[in-house]
Amino acid sequence: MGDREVDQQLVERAQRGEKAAFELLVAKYQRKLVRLLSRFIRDPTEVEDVAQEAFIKAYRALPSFRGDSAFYTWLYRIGINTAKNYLVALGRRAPTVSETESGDGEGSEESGQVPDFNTPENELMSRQIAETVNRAVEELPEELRTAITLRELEGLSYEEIAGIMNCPIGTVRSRIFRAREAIAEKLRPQLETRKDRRW
Amino acid sequence: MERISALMDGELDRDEAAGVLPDLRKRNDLREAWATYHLISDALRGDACVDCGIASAVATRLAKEPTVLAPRPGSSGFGKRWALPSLAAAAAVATVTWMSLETQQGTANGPIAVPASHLLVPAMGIQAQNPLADFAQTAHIPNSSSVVPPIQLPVREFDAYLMAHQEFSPSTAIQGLAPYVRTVTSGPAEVKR
Repeated sequence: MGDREVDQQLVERAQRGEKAAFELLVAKYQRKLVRLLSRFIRDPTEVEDVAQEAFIKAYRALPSFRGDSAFYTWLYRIGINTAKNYLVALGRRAPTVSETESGDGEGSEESGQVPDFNTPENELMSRQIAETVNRAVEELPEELRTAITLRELEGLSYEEIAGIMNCPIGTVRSRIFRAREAIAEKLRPQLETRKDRRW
Repeated sequence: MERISALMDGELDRDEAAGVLPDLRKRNDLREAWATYHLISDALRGDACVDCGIASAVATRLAKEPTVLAPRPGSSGFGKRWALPSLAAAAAVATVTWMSLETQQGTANGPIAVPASHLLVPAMGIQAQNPLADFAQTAHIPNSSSVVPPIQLPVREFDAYLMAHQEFSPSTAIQGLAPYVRTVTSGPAEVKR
């Protein structure tokens, strides 16, 4: 089951009334959406508000989502429209067609210059998290570090990683999981300090 | 947990995924793992906003939202796309079939339907109103003293009559080869007689 299919499964569950399924999609795409919106809106607080609004609009519009496009592509359009409406309401310049349609939403926002979104508090927290994650990766045994790096940074499939590391796919799956758990273990004390954190 | 890791990578097969997704709804530790693994993934990719806190705010707002209930894709997708056109097509076929049967029954089962004008009915007291009525009028004539009863032609004369006038028959409404084929196929029988 590919990434898009997983999203579709979650969407269908949300369409059947499972709000928790939609929350999983929010957890997955919140940073991506924020990064997109911060191309058009400078104020971090406003970006957060618009991102929330976009997710709520997406939730309300779920009955009309038929899966013709990927969930993020659909969310991307909702996010752009929400940002446009927000800026127009404030009398500011809305994003132009060339700004919003530079891609289909799949990674297109990565090509643009992303302003620094973080508030001082968020910036500090983000920096600490990034440092913890990078340090944890460096401390991983080599086979775990290679597996998680090939997956996260190179975007390779388990099958491709198995070919490179000359091991079964099941071993790749296990190594990536163990790498994530080792990183998460280092990260949890930091995450628990966030009172507003959902999970 | 390992299944959650594989699920977020899109590397879980369909059966395993079907087992994991309900667990995600029930178990808080699995949802936490899902969120943390995605956070790690974004942090490794150098995301500017590592810990947005949007999920918690959205969750709070979602709790106040009415639950959305959409029709299941199976019923809305295939059903709506194909059911109505199929019904329309079936209705059209049924209508055409019924009309053609009606036409055939009018000529084959009932009393012989012969245009009144061809039977020289006007000379017997019935006036044809117009050309269309002329063809529509059949030998189903009400039994009353002022109306002429149906005229029964001898079979042999009737065959000759049909042969001569078959191109005007309703059953040959499709012009082209059909009338010619019938003429040829019924020809030998006539010769034998």
